[in-house]
Amino acid sequence: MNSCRIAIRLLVWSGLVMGVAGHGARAAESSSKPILSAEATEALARAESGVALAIAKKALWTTAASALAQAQEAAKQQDNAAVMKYAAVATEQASLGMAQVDGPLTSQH
Amino acid sequence: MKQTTWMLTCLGMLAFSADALSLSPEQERLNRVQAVQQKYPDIKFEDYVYGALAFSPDAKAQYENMMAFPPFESEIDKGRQLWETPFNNGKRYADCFPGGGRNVAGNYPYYDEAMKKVVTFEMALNQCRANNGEAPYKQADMNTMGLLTAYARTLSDGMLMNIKVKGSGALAAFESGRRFFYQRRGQLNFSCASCHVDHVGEILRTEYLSMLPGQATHWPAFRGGDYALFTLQRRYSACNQLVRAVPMEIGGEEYNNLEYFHSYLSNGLPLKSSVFRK
Ligand code: HEC
Repeated sequence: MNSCRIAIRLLVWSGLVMGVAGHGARAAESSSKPILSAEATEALARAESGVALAIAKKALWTTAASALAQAQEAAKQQDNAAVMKYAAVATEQASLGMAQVDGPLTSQH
Repeated sequence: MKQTTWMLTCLGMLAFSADALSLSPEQERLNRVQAVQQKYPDIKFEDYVYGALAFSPDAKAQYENMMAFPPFESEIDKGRQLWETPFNNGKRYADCFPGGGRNVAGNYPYYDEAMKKVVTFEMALNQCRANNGEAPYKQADMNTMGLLTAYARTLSDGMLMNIKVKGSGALAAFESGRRFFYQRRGQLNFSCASCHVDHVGEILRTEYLSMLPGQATHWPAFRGGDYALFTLQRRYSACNQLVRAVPMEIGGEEYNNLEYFHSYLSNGLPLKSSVFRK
């Protein structure tokens, strides 16, 4: 019973310590990395507005939505290459979705 | 001469687009029913309400067994409690509907001329709450609105679906729902009709694809091993996601118009709520 409590306390403490250490490491990391490139910032903005248009047109694909989320996550990590990659997917799929709902209807008769 | 050719061409184009777009609701329903009859002459019209089960006698038999003592009966009872508990002012849901709420659900959705929009049964329940000083339920909340309809709709079991489309506003709402049904959507590039019209009765992964007529008659449904409650619009949302399209808002205008079109296509078929589905 007692040993159980001690074990739990140990777990909680080690979790806290790791959390604090992890936080410090991340802070150090982000200050040493370059900020998001102008290119990546622009790609992300384009993807965000494309996705917003597709939402308004009721034409957004789930895959475009998750590509945008990945691009935004990559931006937080200052990962320019990943931002460019995912933003491009989101932008392309947002416009495909919009063209799709304007396309011919299926099986009219 | 040149002018007449032009005029004829224009007239021809007009006739073509009118043909493609403004098939009357009733003509469209008849076409859809006939198409299923031609493809599956052995399935009776009344049995379209069984959807995918109509293609599999085994699954249908299992369904009948389960429905004799539905394992989700207690959920319907929770809905009954919601329905019967008086509001703070002493009034009840039953006071908001003709016949105490019996045999009404088949009239929904209807087009409200004054509000200029489609009104679903869920909206009518919320209107009833609002008129009696209660906050509306969220339509996507299966634990309140979902459960309430799981009982309230059973009061209309046996009623024939009876959706009306009269007047230009109603027709425009119907057309908008119709368009949604036939528009390709999602990364997989399917329309609702791709599956439920073009491939009716065929197997997708492990499931037979149900036919459009009859699809709106039996909601909510309790689905799968955990009998998760699905209102009709939650099912729309699931089908949208199936083809990797971001779903619309449950209770929003797109799904309401879709439900209007979709329910009209079930006209003449008997309602039976709170059934089991895979
Ligand atoms: C990729 C194919 C596919 C597409 C596209 C699709 N569905 Fe479905 N749908 C299914 C499958 C599979 C089921 C489960 C089997 C069945 O009942 O047809 C289902 C079930 C349903 C049901 C429940 C039928 C019942 O009796 O329980 C409804 C209602 C429905 N779909 C409506 C729609 C609507 C509306 C759309 C368009 C927004 C749509 N579906 C698009 C595959 C699809």
